[in-house]
Amino acid sequence: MSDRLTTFVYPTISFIVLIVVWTLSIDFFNVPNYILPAPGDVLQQLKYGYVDGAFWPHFAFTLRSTLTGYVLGCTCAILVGALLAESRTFEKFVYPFVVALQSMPKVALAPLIIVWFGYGMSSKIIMVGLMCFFPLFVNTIIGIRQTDPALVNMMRSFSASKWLVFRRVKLYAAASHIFAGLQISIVLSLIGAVVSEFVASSRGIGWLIQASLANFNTAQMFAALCSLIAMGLIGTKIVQIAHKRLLFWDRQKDTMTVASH
Amino acid sequence: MGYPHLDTNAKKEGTFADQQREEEDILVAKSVSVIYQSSRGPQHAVDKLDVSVKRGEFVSIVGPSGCGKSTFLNVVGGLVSASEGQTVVRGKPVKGPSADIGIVFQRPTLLPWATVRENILVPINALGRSTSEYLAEADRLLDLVGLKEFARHYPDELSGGMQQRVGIARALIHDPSLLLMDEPFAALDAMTRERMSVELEELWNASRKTVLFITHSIPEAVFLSDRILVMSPSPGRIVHEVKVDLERPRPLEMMSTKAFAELCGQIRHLFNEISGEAHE
Repeated sequence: MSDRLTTFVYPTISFIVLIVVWTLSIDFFNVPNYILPAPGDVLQQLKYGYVDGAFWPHFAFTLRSTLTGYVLGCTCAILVGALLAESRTFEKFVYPFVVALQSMPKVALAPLIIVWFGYGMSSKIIMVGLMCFFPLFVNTIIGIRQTDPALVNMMRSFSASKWLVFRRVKLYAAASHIFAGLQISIVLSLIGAVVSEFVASSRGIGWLIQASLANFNTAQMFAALCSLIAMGLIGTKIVQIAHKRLLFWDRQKDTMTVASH
Repeated sequence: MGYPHLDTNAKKEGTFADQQREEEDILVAKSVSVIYQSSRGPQHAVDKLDVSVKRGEFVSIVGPSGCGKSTFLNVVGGLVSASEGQTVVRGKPVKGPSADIGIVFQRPTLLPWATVRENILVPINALGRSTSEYLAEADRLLDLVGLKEFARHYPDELSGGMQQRVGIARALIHDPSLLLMDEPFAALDAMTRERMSVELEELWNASRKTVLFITHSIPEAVFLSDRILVMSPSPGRIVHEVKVDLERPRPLEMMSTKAFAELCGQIRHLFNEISGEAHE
């Protein structure tokens, strides 16, 4: 019961207080609608967007580009990360460039990616993938490198091949770090999708926000932001549940989050 | 020396080894040295070690921490290559890890994400054999180490002693000719440690595996071994060999007998002599 209280009841109370204060201060300070819309207006917009269906094409566009980019970026990150962690030669050739790329803000690449991949969904997917790639890539390397050397030594003593050591030991040992990276990447992938829609798009939640700006439709902007919050929260929750289900041996320890950004 | 009735031979005399040459040697290590390059120049971890272990023999190497006894074990296991000398297991020179050897480590080193049974089958996977053919053997070993009901459990559900028993079963699954044990009970509490010694002695009586056991506990070595090699602190050398003539099976009560105490005393005396020399 007390768990339920902290996870649901308390946040609900703060949320209600926030809405009340918000509504009252709009009346009290006489804030114009285009600066801060009333909660009712935002709700109206959400109804217009999702019950009447005006936002769905945008929502679907952003969701599809985010998901595709996320899956692509994360797959590449795990594969390249594992290769780099396992091969010293590969590391020597590639790592300096990775560090250089990592220190650059990826969103700055958005215009270039539009030039290369066009206005459509593919440029969004590439941008999302790029955003996801780095934190997960770094986490994969750290995770694999942190494998208990005693376990590797044990495997070696029984004549295990390098591939078997990777498959039976290192991959599992890195799983906790990989999941931490997957979680960070959810939020970063949304940033990537929205930014590239800001730069050039004809659809998507990011485009919707820009369109709202053109019309000074702040209520619609808020409704669009709510959609992004929902996507981020649901995505994070799914990764968390998968983490708990899959990494049963990791339950006692708190998940360590290694953020690279 | 003060212990005239006990069979003590300084290693260089080698009379004991000569007597038994006709028996098959599972392990023969000839003047094995391991030299590390450190900032103070080359350091001998192990210095010209001569060790042989016969089929069905339980041999312990006793020495202080840092004398290189674990390094030597890693040489035999093919995990560390010797700088000088040769190590031969069942007639084959050791060039790397082989199926002839099973190692029990100081820590259980079980895979936390694998069940007890899967952990025991790890060497079978590693050797590229089919695990399905070894399921019965895995269950037999689990029964032998008293963990029959725990086959489907995960390591974190087991106590330290139970985990180490899984480690022992794992080292035996591929039926190695030589079992290497690297201070396997060092991480356990004193009570568990004693019980594990008794269990290992029983297990050894049943299987008569050839064992090379590393420890820094003198009573443990005396309780378990047929022969004890006493190692000096760095650089590690075998300085004495002590034969243990105590009857088998050895119950826990044997630890309070006079003969047992005398053997322990004798080895302790040897250590005092060594450290005395080292301080001069």
